[in-house]
Amino acid sequence: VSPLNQTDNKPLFERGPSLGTRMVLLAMLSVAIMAMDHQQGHLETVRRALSVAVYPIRVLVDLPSASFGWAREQFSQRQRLLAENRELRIESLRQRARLQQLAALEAENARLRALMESPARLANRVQVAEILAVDLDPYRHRIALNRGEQAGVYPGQALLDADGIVGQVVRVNPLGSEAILISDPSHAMPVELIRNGLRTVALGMGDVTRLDLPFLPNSVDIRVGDLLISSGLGDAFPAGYPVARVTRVERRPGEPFARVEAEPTAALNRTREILLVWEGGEALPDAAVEAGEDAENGSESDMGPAVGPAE
Amino acid sequence: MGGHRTLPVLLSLLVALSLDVTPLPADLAMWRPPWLAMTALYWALAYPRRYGLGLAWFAGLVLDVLKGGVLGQHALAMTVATWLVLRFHLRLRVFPAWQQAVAVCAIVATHQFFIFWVDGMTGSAELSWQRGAPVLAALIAWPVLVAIIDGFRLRLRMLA
Repeated sequence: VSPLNQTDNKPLFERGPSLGTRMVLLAMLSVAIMAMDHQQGHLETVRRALSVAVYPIRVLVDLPSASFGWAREQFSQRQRLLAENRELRIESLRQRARLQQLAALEAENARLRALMESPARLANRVQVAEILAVDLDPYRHRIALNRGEQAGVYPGQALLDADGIVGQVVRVNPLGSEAILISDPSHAMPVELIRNGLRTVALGMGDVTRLDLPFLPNSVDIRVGDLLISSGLGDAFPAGYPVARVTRVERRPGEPFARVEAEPTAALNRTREILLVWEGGEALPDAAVEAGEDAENGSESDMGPAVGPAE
Repeated sequence: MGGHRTLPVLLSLLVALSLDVTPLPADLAMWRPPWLAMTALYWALAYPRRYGLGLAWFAGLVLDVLKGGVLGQHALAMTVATWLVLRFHLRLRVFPAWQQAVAVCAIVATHQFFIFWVDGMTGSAELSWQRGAPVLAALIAWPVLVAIIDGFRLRLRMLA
């Protein structure tokens, strides 16, 4: 710093605790806070209070990219909008045609499930949330969302995009929330091979294009291109959503397990809009949990399919 | 100290906080210098009696909440870095610009070490050369930061 000021020097005789003492005290306080926050999550009130104060910064930082998107919508050419509109209409028609079949299949599935006396699956309700363009820690795959407590978001809630599972909510603040991506090195999710129902666990590797499947023996029936869906075990994710496609199978005779990698089907680093899922089609998280339990206990065996796409 | 004002200091810290989470392309993200820590270091160097450990600690805590990491991680790292600056501020001030940048670089390296250490204690962290990227970035960013804030201070007559 330039010689702009020379008067605000350290005093010759200090009052109060010395610099070193204060540093040690603050460092110890930080360590205590870390221990409490990391191990028990005791400091949620402190974090909540500060997060409300910090939320405007996130929104502010998100502003350039949000306004860029807005401007692109405003000033894009009529021709392009028309073309896009036409494409979307065709796409929508195609989807609807498939949905007609789906309704029939769902009814049939529910009937078969009733015959087997297994619990009915419930339709899930979803809501769109936006990922704020905020870079959190580069070594953790976390994202900030613009929906929080006021929208009924709860910790552990699953996130989807158009192609598959993205991650789950880890922390809910009054205004926004934070989520972990399935590619975070500390994340693991139960998956199932759609072709033969093989169940395993997919771990994040810190790379948005790869998931690790470390617990598959060499003799297992798995091929490149196989689709993995969420198995619903562990109660964290709703069952039956696509997660990843197997990209690499390397059988290693000397090792107990094969090396298998998969690529997430969701565009983990490219989406801006994502879907928050409430299982059981209820609006309130509490009600959703109850509905889910009912379904699991199979208490109502004649429960019809709660068909109906999410609103 | 007639020329002193609090508002510009707070504003500069807010700007630094925003820069710390501004989205960057994935290849550039690891080269992001620790803006908030460097800004706090600047003010500690400029007004060592006014902006010291307390401010750095609190700013670090706010950054922890903003980044959604472990509460106390940046608070600890920034406290230690600011302590180093306060400890050597008389010498740091009279250094020529390049020497000051190198010294600040060493302090930022300490800061990054504490960040990495807490990362390792609380979860997954692997040592790679990328961990040193912010330190090199700080070497380049420090003279720029000093020039910008010095410029504003001259214009605002925050001389002493």
